[in-house]
Amino acid sequence: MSPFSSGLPAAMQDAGLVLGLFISLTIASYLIRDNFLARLGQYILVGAGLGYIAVLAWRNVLWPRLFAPVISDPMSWLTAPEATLLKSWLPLILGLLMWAGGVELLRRRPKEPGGSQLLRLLAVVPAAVLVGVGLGVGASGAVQGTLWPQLAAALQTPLAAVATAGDARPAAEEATWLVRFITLLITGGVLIHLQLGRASGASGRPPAQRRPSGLKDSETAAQKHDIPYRTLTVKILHVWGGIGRRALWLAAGIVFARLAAARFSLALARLDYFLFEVPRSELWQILWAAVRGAGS
Amino acid sequence: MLVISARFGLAITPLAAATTLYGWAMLLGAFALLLGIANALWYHLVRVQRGKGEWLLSLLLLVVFALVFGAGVSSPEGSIGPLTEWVFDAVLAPGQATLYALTGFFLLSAAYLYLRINRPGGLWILAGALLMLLVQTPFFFQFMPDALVDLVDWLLSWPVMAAMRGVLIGGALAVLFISIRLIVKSVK
Amino acid sequence: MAKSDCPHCGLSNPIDAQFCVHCGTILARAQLPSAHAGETTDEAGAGAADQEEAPPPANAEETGNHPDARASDPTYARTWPHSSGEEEDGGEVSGEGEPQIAASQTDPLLTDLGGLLEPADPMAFASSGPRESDPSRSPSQSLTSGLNVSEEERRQLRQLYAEDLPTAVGANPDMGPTTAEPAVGGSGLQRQPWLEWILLLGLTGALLWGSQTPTGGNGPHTLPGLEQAHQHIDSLTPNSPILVYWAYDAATAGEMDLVAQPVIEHLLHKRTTLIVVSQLPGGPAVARRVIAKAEESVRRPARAQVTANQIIEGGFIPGGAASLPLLGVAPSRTLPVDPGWVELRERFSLAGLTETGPVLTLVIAARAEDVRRWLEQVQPINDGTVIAVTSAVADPALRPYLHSGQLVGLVSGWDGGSAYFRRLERTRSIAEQVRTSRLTNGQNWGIGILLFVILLGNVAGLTERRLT
Repeated sequence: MSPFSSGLPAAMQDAGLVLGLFISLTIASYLIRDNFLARLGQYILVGAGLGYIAVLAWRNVLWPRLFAPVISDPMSWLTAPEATLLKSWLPLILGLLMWAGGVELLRRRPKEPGGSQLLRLLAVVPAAVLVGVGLGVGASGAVQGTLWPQLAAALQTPLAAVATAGDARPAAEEATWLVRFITLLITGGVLIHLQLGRASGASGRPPAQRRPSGLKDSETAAQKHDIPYRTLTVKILHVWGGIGRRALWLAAGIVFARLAAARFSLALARLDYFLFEVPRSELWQILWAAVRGAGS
Repeated sequence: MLVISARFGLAITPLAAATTLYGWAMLLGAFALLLGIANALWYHLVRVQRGKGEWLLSLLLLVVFALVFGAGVSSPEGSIGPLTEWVFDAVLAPGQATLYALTGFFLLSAAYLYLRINRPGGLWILAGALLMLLVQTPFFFQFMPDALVDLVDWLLSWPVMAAMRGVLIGGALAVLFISIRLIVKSVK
Repeated sequence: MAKSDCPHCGLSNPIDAQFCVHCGTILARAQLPSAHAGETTDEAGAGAADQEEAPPPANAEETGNHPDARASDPTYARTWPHSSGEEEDGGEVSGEGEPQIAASQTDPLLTDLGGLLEPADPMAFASSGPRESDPSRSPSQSLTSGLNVSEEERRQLRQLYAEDLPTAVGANPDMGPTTAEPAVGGSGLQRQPWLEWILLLGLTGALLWGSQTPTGGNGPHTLPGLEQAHQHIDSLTPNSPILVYWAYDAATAGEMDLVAQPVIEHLLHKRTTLIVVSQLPGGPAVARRVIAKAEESVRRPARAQVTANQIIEGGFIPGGAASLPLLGVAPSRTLPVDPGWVELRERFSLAGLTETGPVLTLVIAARAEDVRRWLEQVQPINDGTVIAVTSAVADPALRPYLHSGQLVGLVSGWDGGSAYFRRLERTRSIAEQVRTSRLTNGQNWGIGILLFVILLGNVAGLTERRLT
């Protein structure tokens, strides 16, 4: 138990320890097989998680940011400046519309007749705002944060102001021309493979089981039309995509190794909890002393 | 469109408009969160009402939810009150940590079945995985020649970085086109 | 064993196979005997109605009426938490008239807001028991739900899923030896309990006796990016406002605490002002605990003063990527406007965040996605300097950002945390030293077992290949 719940009576602290151990053991029992106890632990976890999120959303977000100011002066919409209306009243109305529409949907399925069609229609407005803002930031963020800086770095263009933050010196500047070429080759190869290449399994199978890849289709078409330069282009793309595919495989191996380190850390931390943290607790010490006393 | 034009500094949109929209998104996100919770509770309530399989567990879920929510809302300190912190320490932290720790064990089965040299790309994947595993583990690292360690650093910094960059650019292009398509579609 | 040839690729398949194990073509419509027609249930019929909108041939009814038809239905969405076995049984159907499909229809928002209701569920990949023999529970199939694709695309998808993605245990219970050969047919991720037990025993032993045995060398290797992160933090002046974006919760705290704590200790030691915000519900609570531990650790040897003013908790900010730019444009707008929170607003303002922006942003995230989100949504707006502190698995995906200079430093994984602590040149308490030693030994043993298992898997694969 952390010091943040230390204000509670000692009995609660002990109960917390026992409950934590119980839930951990029930969920961990899944290692043996899927069983009722494992499900019990999961349901308690989900119930508590939903309750915790609800408390957080209400007490830390909606109440202090929206409801409290509005309730403290309910008639402020008459006199408030435009900014206050935009910051408080309008999102409140949108949020309430979302709730009303959502509850209406819960009560009746979308295809069921009846219910308030108006509520459902109005609930679309806040949903559209949320989705619209999400799409807008998604598209602009992809361009500003990934596409543009990464393309600049891949092409090694002197776009330091765009591609780098602060006074950081990008590692790209330190590379030799050969390394830069390899980097560009691989990045291009991966893009070609993602766009034109087939699923990664192609080269590992016997030829009889291979299906023609997108590239191979183009190759065949090019040969059919007897256009040498196109055949050459397709061949180059094929080789280039192959380089990208192999680099991706290598990266997948490295990601797997890092994944293993990450997941073993989680498993070790949990085992450490069972083997060392729980036995160190006062409750456990008392229980252990009692068991030993009874034994002797 | 407002957000995009504000982000790219187009004069047609004042920055304040986009900022207001971000603020709305934050608040509407909280509304949506509560609505999602209501939906999950409704789902379990229906299961309990109809006595469907595992309805008892659904009932338990509802009871636990009510207790946690009641404790949090009634506490003057809210989410940083001792009761809510107790729930976090006693239920959420151990439960979530154990659930995720199981993945470490399942990983081994995946390694046994899939990290094989005769699978597609197996040689490359295996080479990358073995090199990284040896370098990142203290016991093996002490026996590793410097050249091999430098090789792994080089691989991580250049070829693997380049491959991941390709994936990032590909992903960003996909996000961009999907977003634009959805925006245009909704405008139509 | 009886076999049949695939009409598409011509290769042999087990006689009872629904799909060609080589190319994914539906064999069922050609092979299903009429006897199956007698096994119909309403539920299966309902599943079949949803299935294969595009290409139902003349005998589609037989295909759909097969009890396993639902298994091949890509539109058969899986809800979470799992429903019970009885719920899916035909017996329950007659009683309630509400099969699983109907249950999912009861909750239109359940799938729409699925991100909220479906936590990353490790069980989904490796659940056991008779229920799970239904491949419709495979996570791979949920990917196809809602897709309106042609028959050829469906065939390709089936083949792809059959080969590359893990499916639930027993997903193919009747597979013969030919189809069970992983390299050819793909048997999905089948849990190997004996391996899990070996790992469990190995890790337990390593922890129990880990503090007595040497961990090996001078600790783990320092990956590129860590040195830059250390140097940058070391150059910070006291009272510099540092924005900490806390993007992990208790689920990954076992690993992330090990890497976050040394960096936080360093920042506290430099007497910077930390402003902590999170978009995860459990983020602020975990942050409080880690920072408290770091404060305790910093105070202990140097008796340094770590005042309460150094930590400002911005709290939980919902809205995902859509609200994140607010932290770049107007960080104070993320704060509550209720009078009860005035003190927090004042401290926020005192920290100078509203006028100048943060001197440094520390993104502490378990997923590369969260760091990417920050670099896409906030950094282009405030042009801030960012250091990422991440899980080991996120490291390779963030290398491009380090290379382009968008990140000035990268510390990842328990090994990164351990190496960072060595850079701090501080002594740990005895208890911390013992725990670190245990965990390092656990990693040694875990990776050792993993290497052994990889070797074993390869030997098994090559032997199987030779035998077949």
